[in-house]
Amino acid sequence: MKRFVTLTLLCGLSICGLSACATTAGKAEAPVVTAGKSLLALKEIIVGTREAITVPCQQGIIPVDACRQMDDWYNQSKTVYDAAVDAEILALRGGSETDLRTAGEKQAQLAQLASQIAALALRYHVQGGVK
Amino acid sequence: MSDLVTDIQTGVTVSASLAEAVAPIVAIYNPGAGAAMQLLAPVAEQFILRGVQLVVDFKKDMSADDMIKALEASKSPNWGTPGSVEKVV
Repeated sequence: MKRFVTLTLLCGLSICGLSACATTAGKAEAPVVTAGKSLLALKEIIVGTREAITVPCQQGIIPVDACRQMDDWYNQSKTVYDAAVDAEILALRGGSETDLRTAGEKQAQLAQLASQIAALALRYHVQGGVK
Repeated sequence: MSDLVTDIQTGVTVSASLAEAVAPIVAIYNPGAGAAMQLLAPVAEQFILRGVQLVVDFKKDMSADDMIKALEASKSPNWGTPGSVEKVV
């Protein structure tokens, strides 16, 4: 039973931690602001990964096909990110339910792209990403 | 991807691997989640782009106006131009 509780708590905290759970000094942060932070974090992952693969790709450490695939996902992510930001800003300005839903959908698309880029880069042990 | 998780607060769904990747970043601006993040850290360390942690500068209690400014400044025209990924021969 104790193990079950621990696992449940851990899972709950892990999911919570994904988008910060957003408590600072016990004060709840608006979920839409938290979503904005997640968006910025996703962007950092995408941009950081793209920068990190440049040299390994140029040196042939990462196969050409993988490099081009990651570059393609990076370029796709620009469009998705800008759309996600526009939707998120509308939501932050007190937008409608539709705005909130659009922001969530765009963020999910971006997360998918970030996930793909990061997963492929990590397959080749890319660790960098400092701007 | 089949390993999806949904954030209970925002409703955003991402893959579990990305959740692990984001976790250390989250820990920086959300010390309240520190204990959970410490538990996740050994796993996340394998995924995270370590340098990303250094450049994410989130305020702990960002207002909506500050977030709007940060988001506007972060749009793709400001991402810079990365180097080519073509192999140099």
